[in-house]
Amino acid sequence: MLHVSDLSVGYGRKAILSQLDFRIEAGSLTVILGRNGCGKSTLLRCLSGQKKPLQGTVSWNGAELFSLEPSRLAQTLALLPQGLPVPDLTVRELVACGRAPWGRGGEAQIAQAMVTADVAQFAGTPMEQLSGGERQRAWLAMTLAQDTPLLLLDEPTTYLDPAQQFRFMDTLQGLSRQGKTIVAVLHDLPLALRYASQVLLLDAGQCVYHGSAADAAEPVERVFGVERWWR
Amino acid sequence: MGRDRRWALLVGMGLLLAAVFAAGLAFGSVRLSPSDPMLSAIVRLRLSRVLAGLLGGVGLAVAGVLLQAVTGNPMASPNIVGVNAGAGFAVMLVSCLWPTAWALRPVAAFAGAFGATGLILALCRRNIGRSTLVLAGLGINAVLNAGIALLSLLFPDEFTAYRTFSVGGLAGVQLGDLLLPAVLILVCALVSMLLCPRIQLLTLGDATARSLGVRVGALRVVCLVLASASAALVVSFAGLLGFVGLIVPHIARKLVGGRMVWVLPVSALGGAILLILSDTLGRMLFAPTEVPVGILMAFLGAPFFLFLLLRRREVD
Repeated sequence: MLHVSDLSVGYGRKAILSQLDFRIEAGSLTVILGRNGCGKSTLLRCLSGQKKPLQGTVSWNGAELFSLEPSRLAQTLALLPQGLPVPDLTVRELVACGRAPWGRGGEAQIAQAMVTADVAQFAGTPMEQLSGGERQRAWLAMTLAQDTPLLLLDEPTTYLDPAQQFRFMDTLQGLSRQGKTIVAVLHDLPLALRYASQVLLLDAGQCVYHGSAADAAEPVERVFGVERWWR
Repeated sequence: MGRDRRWALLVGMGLLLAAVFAAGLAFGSVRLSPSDPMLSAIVRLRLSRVLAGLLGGVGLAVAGVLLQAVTGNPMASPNIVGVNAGAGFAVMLVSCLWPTAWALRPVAAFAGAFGATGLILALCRRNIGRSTLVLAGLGINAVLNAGIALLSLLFPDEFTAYRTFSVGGLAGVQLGDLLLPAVLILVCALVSMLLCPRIQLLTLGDATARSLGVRVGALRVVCLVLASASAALVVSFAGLLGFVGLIVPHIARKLVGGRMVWVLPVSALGGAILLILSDTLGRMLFAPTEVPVGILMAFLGAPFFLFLLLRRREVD
């Protein structure tokens, strides 16, 4: 379980998110929603241990993330950030990078990750020859090869067409059903509410809703100022 | 390209290096015959040059590979991040203040290169991101080049010597000058080779590298120190040779893909082949007049740089 306690995050001394308290259950697919600039990506960076909070703690199964050695942290959680480069590597070479925290070996995990992310057929293809959606799935395969119980994804469906988005989210849903804990920042409200098991809604520096996706429609409409037509 | 073909390429490049090395000894501005009484003396002189070309090629190519990986910028090379300008300014300063202290110049090249890199690191201490690093390098280059221009105005007599140094060449290199650079350049190359798997992760972006357990800031500093040392060591005996660190890593990536564990050795071999071959051609093209290898590298490198720049703009 991911436990966030009294967490304030910001830049300099200025907090953009204050005193967050929430728990994310193991095996859930939690989507973080909020307006542009509300701090979703900053929160994700903090949850990944890459940005120190102004105060508060983030722990995974009782272990404080900021006290973990980088290699141990990399065996606990994998982050798929935004704005990924197009590396001069084949898909298989990229996916194999995900095994770095575990040392040599891991051929089975690499093969399984490519199958799960549906990129096994591109194993020997250079990344630059893939479409945007295929590249995104290759990056997902790399994070899966990292074989961590917790996956953090920052707007993973950006630049994907609707069919690719559904395919990508189907994969994430399947992974959460297999026991992976997934936290994703998304912008697409219908997609988020369709696939998420939990929704974390941020507004004005606070968590204004944390609960099931089924009950999230009303607070989401209030925060985004949209009517039911978007559903 | 598969693993077997990559190994075959490495072996082929090793053989080509041996052939180019032999050609560098056999050919030059003077035709040699086996009965020539000056044969051994000339071969000994050429041996210094060819060894300097080998070391220079390895050092500059390794520096280029590291800088391009660390900055995430394929345009990065020792002259972009200020290593060459730092070394050049320090040598110019020493030449102006102590014109007869020749032994101080290599030391000054070291100090200048490290100083420039240190300054960049200090500027980037809060946020040592990719673009920050390259932009800081451009700023440092501008300041140092302005300093060089000022010194050339204040001490016009020393500027002639500086021009030879700034073009870059292997003429006049003595075997004794190469011993320390040889050891240190090979150490830098070896350490870089050992770090390749971690450096590979750095090419995936800072956030991804951190997520994979890399101490990004520390690794970037180590890479910059290794790159600066490699380039400054070459500057100490060959002057400000440009473009080797830019051209060679690009060609290596085209040949073997982006895996650092292959790019680095292929670049090291390629740099050595390119520099020895260019220096040999420079001695032969207008014999008995020798064209410094730095001029040939500029003729090769500048169009390559423009090609990369235009292609990058198209991609952007």
